[in-house]
Amino acid sequence: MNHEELLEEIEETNRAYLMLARRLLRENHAVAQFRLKLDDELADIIKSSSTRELSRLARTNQFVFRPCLESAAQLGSALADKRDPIQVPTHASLMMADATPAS
Amino acid sequence: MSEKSLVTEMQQVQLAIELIELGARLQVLVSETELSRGRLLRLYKEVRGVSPSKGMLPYSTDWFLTWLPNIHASLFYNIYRKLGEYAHGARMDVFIHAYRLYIEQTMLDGSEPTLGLTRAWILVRFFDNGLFDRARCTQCSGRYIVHAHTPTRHYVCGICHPPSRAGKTGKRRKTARVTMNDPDASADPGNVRKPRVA
Repeated sequence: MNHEELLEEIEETNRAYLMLARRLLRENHAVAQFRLKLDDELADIIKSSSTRELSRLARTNQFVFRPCLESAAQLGSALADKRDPIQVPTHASLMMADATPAS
Repeated sequence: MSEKSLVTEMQQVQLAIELIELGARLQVLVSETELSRGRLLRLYKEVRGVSPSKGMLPYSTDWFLTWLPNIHASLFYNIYRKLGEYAHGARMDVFIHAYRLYIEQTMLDGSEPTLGLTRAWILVRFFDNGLFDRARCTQCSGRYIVHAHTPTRHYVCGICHPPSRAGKTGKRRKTARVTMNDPDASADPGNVRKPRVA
């Protein structure tokens, strides 16, 4: 993959994330905030942004969102989980549910 | 007294229907709505096609501390509390949305929703009454349900340190199947329906 394609993919991922975030926020604000880990103000701005604005925001060489697993210990635990998945809900989900919102 | 508002009443019926669909026992409906017992019974029969099961609710706190239930209950409760911080709506609204989010995750995992709605509701009450607390696992730093006032400095959760036979016995599998049909009627001594003494 050449470098330009890579940049395009980052932009695409950003845009897809922002569009979905906006849709979720319009459907159910609180539940979307929980899924996205966004505080009230951030959520309100995304919710009221135009597609044009979000597209502009997406066009960058960095990701607009960051991981919700907050430490190496958490990420390590989530990946190390060898339990039968039929029995146990994902460790990651349990840990992320408690994550502090971005503000 | 003034007449009850029709809108309020409709909302109450709506709430009751939602709860019944998610598997609530009659006691939950009686506590959470202002509808009469008779109306709730009729509503229940209409929605589910059968009469609600009689008998007491599972009252034991111990069930929530056994291995698999603890993981499921902790997942649900973490969602419930966090969602409560985001939401500005009514408490039952938060509860129902949190329960749906929990079910959603178990579906993704292909696991059974071990925590039935009635149990989830009881869990919240236990917390409200100060019977439970959440401890941070010293390994994954996830938060898990423990009895209030237990020392938690060296707490390690059931996922980081599962008991050696966890999830491997035939009994567990059988229980899981039972759980699927009636999540609140799992093999719990606290849930044995005692014959009524006249």
